[in-house]
Amino acid sequence: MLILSGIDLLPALNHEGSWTSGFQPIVQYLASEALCDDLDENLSPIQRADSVAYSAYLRAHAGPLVDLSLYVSAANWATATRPAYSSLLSFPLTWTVPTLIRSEAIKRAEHLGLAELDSDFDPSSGLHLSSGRDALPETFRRHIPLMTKKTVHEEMTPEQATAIRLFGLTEDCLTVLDDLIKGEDEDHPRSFAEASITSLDCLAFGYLALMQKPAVPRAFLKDWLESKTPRLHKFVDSMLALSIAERGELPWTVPDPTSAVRFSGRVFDSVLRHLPNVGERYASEVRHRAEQQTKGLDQRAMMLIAGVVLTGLATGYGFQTYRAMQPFGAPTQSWQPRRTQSRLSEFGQLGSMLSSAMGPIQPMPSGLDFGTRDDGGPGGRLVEVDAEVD
Amino acid sequence: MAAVTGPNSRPGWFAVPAPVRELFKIFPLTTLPADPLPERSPERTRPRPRLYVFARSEEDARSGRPSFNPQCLKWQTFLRIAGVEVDIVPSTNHASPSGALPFLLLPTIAQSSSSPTEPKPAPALKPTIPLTGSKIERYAKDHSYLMISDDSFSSSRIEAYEALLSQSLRPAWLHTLYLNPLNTPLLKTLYLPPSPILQIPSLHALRSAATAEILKTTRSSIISPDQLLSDATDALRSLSALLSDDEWFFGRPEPGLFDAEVFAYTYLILDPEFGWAGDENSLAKCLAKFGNLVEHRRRLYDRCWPESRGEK
Repeated sequence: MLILSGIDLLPALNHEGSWTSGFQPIVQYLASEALCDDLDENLSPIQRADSVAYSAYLRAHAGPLVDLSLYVSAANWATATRPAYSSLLSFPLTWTVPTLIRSEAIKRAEHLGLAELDSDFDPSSGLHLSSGRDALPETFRRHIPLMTKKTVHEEMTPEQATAIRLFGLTEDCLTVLDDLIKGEDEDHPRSFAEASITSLDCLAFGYLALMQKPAVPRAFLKDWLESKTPRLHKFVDSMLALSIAERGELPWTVPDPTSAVRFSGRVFDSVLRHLPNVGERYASEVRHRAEQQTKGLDQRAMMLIAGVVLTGLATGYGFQTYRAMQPFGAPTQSWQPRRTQSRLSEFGQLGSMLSSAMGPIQPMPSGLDFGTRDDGGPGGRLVEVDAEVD
Repeated sequence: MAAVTGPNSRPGWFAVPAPVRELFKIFPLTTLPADPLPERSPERTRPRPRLYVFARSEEDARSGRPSFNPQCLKWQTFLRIAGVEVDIVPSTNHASPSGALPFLLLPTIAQSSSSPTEPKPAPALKPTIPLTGSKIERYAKDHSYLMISDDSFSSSRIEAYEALLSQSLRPAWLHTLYLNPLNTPLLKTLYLPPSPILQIPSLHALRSAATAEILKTTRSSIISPDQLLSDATDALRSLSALLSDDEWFFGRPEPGLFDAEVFAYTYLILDPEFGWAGDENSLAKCLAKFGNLVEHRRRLYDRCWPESRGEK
């Protein structure tokens, strides 16, 4: 994950210190640096054009389907995707980063209008106690004793309730892909008949494998692939067998351990992104800095920091002033400590009695009093103390 | 207490005091006749369908000049290809029931005159539902005197190339027009209200919407103009290869919806009167390299706007 390096897009390739990210740029980079065989070199110009077009199609239509299946569907997210992220990340990030990734995916699949799959989603955005069980996340509902008889609609999972639209989308997308992958070889269908594996095959495999392979409880994509488009199913299996299983285990390397500063920076970053309002502003500011490739403090950052500090100071000062103000509407009352009184009289009647008993021991304030005002005399003071006792 | 309730106790607690009642009885002083509908509201009878698009001026719209918005221009071109005569009405997003332009209002007279024998009770009073998107396509095909080729034979390829336009060419277009600071004056004349008080917040809203759209389409976390441009160049190269030496896309004898969609971008990118800032419009430079796309643009323009052939 490259959140702090500013690229922040997987897949990313690091070749001798230079980063390339995104599928198409990596393919171009590999070909231009001659790091591996150019998979597309045998294609005719029109096939190349088709390859570019179908890649765009995969991104535009297969991508949101994968998002629907792995992220939007609450059941799939809870059982498959979130645990997968949790195994990759270390402790506090498991609470913050996956939800951010999920909300991005939900936003990408928004235009399909299938927010019902996310059963945590509340259409009127607010907890309605009247709706009872519907207000609860799907996973909790099982643990609640059943009060009423459920209707057919309530019995269905969100995937079943929206099945017609869901299958419509799946059919639209996978039919196009099924038309694309029409190899002559029955066992190993490929997108371009005469060529071997092309970069388009690799990309299509990526999307289709994510539809077919993950063990998810609501496997609507997998069911469709198996029953309606067996050729695509076969394509995934053959790609898996030939290109990945044959080469053996992939060479995993353990990433460099991240320093404590960097790690806490990431935690702080992800927490900031969760804050309402501030999070969006922060994300767009980070994006702006990454686009302009600014490092350190420039004028804009200084202005922002100064603005935040000034706003904070003003808010803090205002809050303190408010706290110091007396309640609105109360008449003005001022309380002043009585100079001439002994400390002991603060403890109620007992204190007053004690203080009158110990009268001679506190000569200092009374002495001062006595010295400044000649006319009063010690008698006056004694009267006051008596009044206090009464 | 007693003093307050005293005078009101006889008529009841909630009765209106007599002087106030007298005052209210005077109103309304006069009843004015109902105002006529605003001048630009749709007329009750329309001899021809009306297409609501973004247009620079009333004058442009009346003469049917191409709209400056690719989405609007696509449907405008398609209706012209189909030979369906429409009235162009300049409009904004706020006028649209769906929130997006263009939309098509059907003619009212055509319905009643097409079936004069059937006794239809006042068809003109029936509210017409505005058509958008693929419904415009269906309408154009139904009312065209030409036989527009159906897309069924290579529909999956067409869908792939349509995705190419929306995934690769559109983000570059959005970036060039909305986010490139050099084109800000152009953007202001096209989409923003003239008042400077309204302009600044609208510009901000427009820009952030364009940014969000680009980020969502490219699935990346930052906007890189170079990457957008190279994606757009790849897309144009693919389109050029697809067209090769044919007259229209997919080797069809007549232009179709896909031709209109490509034309909507290529026409505007290469339009010298569009008002692009300087030579910074590198999309135009990229497009100029693909001769057959430029030819395709000219061919379709001559076909759909034969009246302005002499101008260029």
